[in-house]
Amino acid sequence: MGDILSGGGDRPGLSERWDALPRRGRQLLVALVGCALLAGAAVSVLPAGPGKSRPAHTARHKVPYPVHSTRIGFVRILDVDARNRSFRIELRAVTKDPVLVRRISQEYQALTMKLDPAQAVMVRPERAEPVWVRARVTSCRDLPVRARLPFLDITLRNARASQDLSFILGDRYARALDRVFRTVCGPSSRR
Amino acid sequence: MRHRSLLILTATVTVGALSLSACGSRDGKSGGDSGEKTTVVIGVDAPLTGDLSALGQGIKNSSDLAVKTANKNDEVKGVTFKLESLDDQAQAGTGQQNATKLVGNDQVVGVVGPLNSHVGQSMQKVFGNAHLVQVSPANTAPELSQGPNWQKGQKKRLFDTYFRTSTTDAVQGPYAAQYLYNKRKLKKAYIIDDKKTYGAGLAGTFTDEFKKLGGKVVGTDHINPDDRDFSAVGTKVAKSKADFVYYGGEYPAGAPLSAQITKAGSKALVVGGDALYSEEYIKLGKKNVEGDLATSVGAPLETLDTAKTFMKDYKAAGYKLPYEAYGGYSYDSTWAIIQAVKAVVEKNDGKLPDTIDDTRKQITEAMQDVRFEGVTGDVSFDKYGDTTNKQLSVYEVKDGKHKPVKTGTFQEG
Repeated sequence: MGDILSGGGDRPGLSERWDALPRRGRQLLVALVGCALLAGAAVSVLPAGPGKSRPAHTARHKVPYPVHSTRIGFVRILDVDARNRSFRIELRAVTKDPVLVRRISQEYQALTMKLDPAQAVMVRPERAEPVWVRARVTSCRDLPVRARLPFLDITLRNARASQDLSFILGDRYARALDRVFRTVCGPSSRR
Repeated sequence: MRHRSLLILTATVTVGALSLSACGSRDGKSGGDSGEKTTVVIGVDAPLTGDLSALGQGIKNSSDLAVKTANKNDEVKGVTFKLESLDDQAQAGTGQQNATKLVGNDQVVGVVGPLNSHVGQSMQKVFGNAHLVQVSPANTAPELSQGPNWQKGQKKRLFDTYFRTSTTDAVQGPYAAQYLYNKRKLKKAYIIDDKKTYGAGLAGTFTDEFKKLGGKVVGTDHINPDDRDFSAVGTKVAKSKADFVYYGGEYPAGAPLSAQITKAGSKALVVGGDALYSEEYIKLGKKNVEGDLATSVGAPLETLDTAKTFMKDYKAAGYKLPYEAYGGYSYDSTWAIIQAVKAVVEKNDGKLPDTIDDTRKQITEAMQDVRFEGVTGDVSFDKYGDTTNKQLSVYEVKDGKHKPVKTGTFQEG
């Protein structure tokens, strides 16, 4: 059985190309390949730097769910209209990723709420965005007063998902709401 | 030909190694990180045996995973972390003994735990006197961080060594009340608690808000958490026609309580806090607990990208028991201690202070400024040592599993 050529062709092989290189060219190529190999090894072996030292985290960026990227805080209640039992609430939204505030309500039987104006509010990461809500007391009977942690149900949508979330706005909101209930319904609304 | 290839390969590796200086920067101190390492211990205190061991083992395993991750990644140069876990059996006295033991070990630089608020209370002073930092992944009683008069608006931090990654019952109870009264339209409650710090406190914050909303409390009871026969209470609940039972307590008693209320003919749901949010609750109560609700700290881990690797690594590590309700919080509590150690090492030119007292003091101080993106979201602490990440969720038992139905964020304006 004679020798069998298992590869090749008419182009020069690797060793022939190597032989054809001048000495300085060979040195440069060896240094470059060495650098590339070491850099690759370093990336795969070395631990993350201080700023990236997160526990068990993935490096890739994925837009988080709205619950993890958006914060909504209470600013003030204004434009209280005792005759119509209505008022406005100013909120402030901040987000890490663009998010749409689509709907706001508070599940009190005697209270209606809607965005004012009645269209979704786009919040971008660069700055805090005011969100206005128009609220109206529909009945002074059974209106909860002195509740400690009323919350708003807010629908948020971003590139990842749409979520119905509760935002518990804290003591300042609770007290402001209490005051406005007493204003529009009078002291007799007290439980 | 074969020799030539070998020569090329050898030359490539050799020159590559020698050309390090051309690839990156070095300060000439070759082998600077080859010095000996200091081993420090992170203590874990949790109920590792007994009725609550499912939660306790989840805490221990998750802390273990954090320590292994830190060591593997060489998170703190020159420091190797070791875990020492102690079983408190959910008993305040045992927890206090464990705290004394941990303080006495001069390698311990921080402690994760405990699970139970009443156990946490018994440990606080011991750690406070020794300046040893403690981060609980599960204590929810507000007084641990805000003092006994927090409800009167007189918040006062008693121990600067105490921190926690879980939300408190100051939010959990009222949130449940608002959800049940307004969203579920459930107006008649029967309140039961187990008389412990956690259970009685949680039932108290719930009841207070529920009444203010206009809810009616149609009956109250206290139970012994070691009992398993609640048939008499079940009969009283059935007669009361309550829409639901709010139970301030833990799953070992909560599950049979719920089952026996159902068997007594009541259609009342049983609702509770984070100590009912356990797979064990469903295992113990079986179909009788379908529809029951529990609030628990944080958002569901499944919605957190930061938690996915944790869940994967936990599974890969082969722990026999699940990470349970506080796994993510335990990982983050442990990681917070690791980050505080790191800050102290960096502040002291790459090593820990010479004495353990000084080390512990500096770690406690550093903890106040720790901030990182953890398994459960952004981790940092407010002036009381409470987590700034105040999220919580409502879960419903559906088809034998806890399914999230609502998530809320507490955001003080």
